[in-house]
Amino acid sequence: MRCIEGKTLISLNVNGRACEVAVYPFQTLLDVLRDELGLTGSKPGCENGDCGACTVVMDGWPMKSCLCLAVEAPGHEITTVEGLQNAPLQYAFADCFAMQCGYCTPGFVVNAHALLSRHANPDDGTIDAWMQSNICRCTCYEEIGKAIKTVAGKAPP
Amino acid sequence: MIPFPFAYVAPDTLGEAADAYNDFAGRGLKPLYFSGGTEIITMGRVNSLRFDAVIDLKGIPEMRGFGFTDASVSIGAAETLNGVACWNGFPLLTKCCQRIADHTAQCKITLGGNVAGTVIYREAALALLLAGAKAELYGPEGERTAELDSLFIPMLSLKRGEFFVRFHLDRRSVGIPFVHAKHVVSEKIGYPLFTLAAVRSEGAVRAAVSGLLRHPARLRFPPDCSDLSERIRAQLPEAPLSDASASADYRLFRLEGALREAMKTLGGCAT
Repeated sequence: MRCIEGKTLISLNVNGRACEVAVYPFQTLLDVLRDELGLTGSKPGCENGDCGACTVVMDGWPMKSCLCLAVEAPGHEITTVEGLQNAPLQYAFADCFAMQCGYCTPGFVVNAHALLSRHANPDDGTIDAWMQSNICRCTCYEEIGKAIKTVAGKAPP
Repeated sequence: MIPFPFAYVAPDTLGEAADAYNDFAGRGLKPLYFSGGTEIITMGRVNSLRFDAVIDLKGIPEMRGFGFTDASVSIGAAETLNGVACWNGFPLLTKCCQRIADHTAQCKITLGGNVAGTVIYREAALALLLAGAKAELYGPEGERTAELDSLFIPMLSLKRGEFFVRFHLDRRSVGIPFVHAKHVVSEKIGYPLFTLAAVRSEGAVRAAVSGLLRHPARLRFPPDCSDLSERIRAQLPEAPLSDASASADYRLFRLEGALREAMKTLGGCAT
């Protein structure tokens, strides 16, 4: 049984790299990624699990890092938007103008990456079901859908 | 970040979890069982929930996985809603899970957490109630099994320190034809006015509804039902919710229409 009562060293696997970081149980994974590991691509939006700007991939599934305690993360493979550098999906978002202010974009890109990893060629319903987890206040939803379809069917995302 | 300190405990066995609960509670502290933890983290962050420890149940093997025998199906309470949907061994439960929160949140929220949480909707419970699920529970007094229906009296009532381990279902109940409808004010994501699940069995249409009352409501109608409005009102143990989203009368109006459609789909009369 693991019991953590104060600041404790934990091992994380982020973007394929192992790292050790001292955390408190009250810190979310989002806090630790940004404040301890300097991975500021995951954005604090609502911090309430609604907006999806903080989405990371955990073991191949999207995860809102504001809804995950850092102490839950050891033993899992985490991918942030920084781990998707030069991915075709990033270029597709740029080419399709699938952003305006850009604040929500890392969350959409990461969620779309997880989607395309699970469904190489998703239909519109599947894209909708997954992307409804993220909110874009500039309302770029059409362009985001187009960007995902641009990459769909071409592995890897 | 949650703005107060607390301990995090990840037990490996059911006994360790109950012992940890007793240990904290015995010291006058407030422990909470934690699985997906979405409700605890969001409510803790805004200080609307205070606790001294969380006991993370999802590493306990008995609470994970899906079991089949010729006669029964069992589902671990610490399986995520997305895990339940991917398994898809109980299509009505799949449908309920896929309409809770959003897809990414479904990868964190667990079945047991949805049924046992404090948010009133508990949509996964609708499928389990209609299937006559038995709940396997564990707590400081040991293990026990109870009809899930019997635990809602009418609010969910568990013994002190008790938690869901698994849900057991008769295999015949998981393939039964159903209707599922989530009614919201607008958009697909968001808290519902109500969520309706209905099945036809034993010569009746049985329905379970959440969001209408503070707890899931169970309704039963003859297939040739008339006077639907009166029959709904007669079976409700308390007045429907009335809030900024909708008045009680509007919820009942929408529910009557949804039930009428459900009865048509299930082969009953919709007069």
